[in-house]
Amino acid sequence: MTAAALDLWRPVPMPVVSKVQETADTVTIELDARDSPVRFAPGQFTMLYAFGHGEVPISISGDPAHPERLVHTIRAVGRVTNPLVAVEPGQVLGVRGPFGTGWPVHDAEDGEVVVVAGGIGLAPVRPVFHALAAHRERYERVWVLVGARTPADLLYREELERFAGAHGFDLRLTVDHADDTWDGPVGVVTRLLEAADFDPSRATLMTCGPEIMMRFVVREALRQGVPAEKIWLSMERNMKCAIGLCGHCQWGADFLCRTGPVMRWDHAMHRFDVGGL
Amino acid sequence: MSDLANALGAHPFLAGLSDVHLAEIAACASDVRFTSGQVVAKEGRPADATYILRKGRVALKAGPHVVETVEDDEVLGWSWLFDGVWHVDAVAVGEVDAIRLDGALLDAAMHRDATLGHALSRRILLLVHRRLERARLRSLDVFGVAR
Ligand SMILES: Cc1cc2nc3c(=O)[nH]c(=O)nc-3n(C[C@H](O)[C@H](O)[C@H](O)COP(=O)(O)OP(=O)(O)OC[C@H]3O[C@@H](n4cnc5c(N)ncnc54)[C@H](O)[C@@H]3O)c2cc1C
Ligand code: FES
Repeated sequence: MTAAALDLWRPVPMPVVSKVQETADTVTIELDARDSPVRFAPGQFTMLYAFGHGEVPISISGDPAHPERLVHTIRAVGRVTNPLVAVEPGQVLGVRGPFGTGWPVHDAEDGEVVVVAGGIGLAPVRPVFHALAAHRERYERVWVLVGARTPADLLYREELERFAGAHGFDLRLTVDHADDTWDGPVGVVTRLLEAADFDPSRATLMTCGPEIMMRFVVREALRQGVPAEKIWLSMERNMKCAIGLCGHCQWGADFLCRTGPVMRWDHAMHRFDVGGL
Repeated sequence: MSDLANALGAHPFLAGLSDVHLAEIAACASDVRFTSGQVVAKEGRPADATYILRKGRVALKAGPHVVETVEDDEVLGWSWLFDGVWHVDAVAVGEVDAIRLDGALLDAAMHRDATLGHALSRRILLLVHRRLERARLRSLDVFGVAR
C-alpha cells in the first residue's frame, strides 16, 4: 500500500468540490481525491463520514476512469445522510474504501446488457454506464430501463439521455405517477423489461433499486428466459466496519460488505425464501 | 394469409397462433388510427373492442390521473369478455396505429371454435395476470419510502 492509498480503518479527509441538487432529497457530491485517488470497480462503495454525525455506506457513482474525482449520489433519509446531503463545497468529508464487489462489466462483454434501476438505485449503476461507454464496441445492445416514483424523482435524466444519444444505449424511462410535464410511459419498471426486445440467452441483466423492486425484476427476467447466473443485483444492509469484521451487514452466510453488495441471483435467491433475513 | 392476419401474427400478443386461428381473428379485425388526444375509450361506456397496438402510446386515465400507459406491441381492452363496460378512459398520446378486434364478432368466433376460445382466453388471462402483478408492485410505492 502506498502512502497515498486509502486506509481501510481510518477515514481520509477529502474536500467537497461540487454539489448538484438532483431531486428534492438527493444530491451528487464530488470530492477531490487527487491526494488519494480511489480506484474502484463499478458497484463498489465507500464509507462516507460526516464528521460529528457518523459514517454510512454510499456507492461510488462517478466515472471509474477518474479515480481522482470521487463522486457519490446521496438521498437524505436519516441521521447521517441528512448532514451529508447538506454539505457545501469547501467542507470536508471522511472516506474509507472502496469496498465490496462490482458489477460484471467484463463478463457481460460480447452480449447484450440490460440494466434495470429504480429510484436511488441508479447511483450504483451509473459507473457501469461510463464503463460500457468507454468500450462500447465490446457490447451488443445496451438497454437502460429506469423507473422513478414521479418525473421529478428521475435521477440523471439529462445525462442519461446524452449517454444514450452518444453511445447508442436503448434508454427507456417510466414513472409510477405522472404529472403534467410527462407524456412518457407510466407504470412500474418491470413493464419496460416486458417490452424490451432483447435476446435473453445473450443478455446479462444488472438490477439495482429497492429490494422488492429487484425481486419483481428478477421474476420477470427469469420468465423471459434470462439464466439465473446472468442476473445480478445489489443487496444492501446496514454496515459499520465494511471490512468483514463486525457482522452488521450479515445476510445469511454472507457479509455483504465483502461478498456483496453486487451478487449473482443464483447465489442470492435462496436467502429470499428465509423470512426476516 | 391476408395482410391483417400477418400483422396479427407478428404481434407479441398473438404470436404463435395457428394460421387458422389468425384467419378467424382477422375476420373480426380492422385497422384504426388515433390522433393525439383522441379518446379511444370512455369510462362507463360499452366496451366493444380490443385494440392491438402496433405503434404509439395510449394513456389509461381515472379522472385526470394517468394510471398507466399502454404502448407499442401491447393490448388494450378485454372488458367485452366480462361486464362489457370500460373501466378507465383511454386517450391517445400522439399518433396511435392499432388493430381493432370487434368484441361481439370475436366472442362469437371463440364460441364457434373452442380451441380459439381457449387460446385467446389464456392470452388475455396472462395480460390480466401481468397487470395485476404490476398493480401489486405499484401499490407498494417502493420509491416513496426511505429505502
Ligand atoms: C452497499 C450500500 C450502498 C449504498 N449506496 C447508497 C447510495 O449510493 N446512495 C444513497 O443515498 N444511499 C446508499 N445506501 C444506503 C445508505 O447507506 C443508507 O441510506 C444510510 O445508511 C442511512 O443512514 P442514515 O443514518 O442517514 O439513516 P438512519 O437514521 O439510520 O435511518 C433512516 C431511515 O432509513 C432506513 N434505512 C436506513 N438505511 C437503510 C437501508 N440501507 N435500507 C433500507 N432502509 C434503511 C431506516 O430504517 C430508517 O427508517 C447504500 C447502502 C449500502 C449498504
Ligand atoms: S459491515 Fe462489518 S462485517 Fe460487514
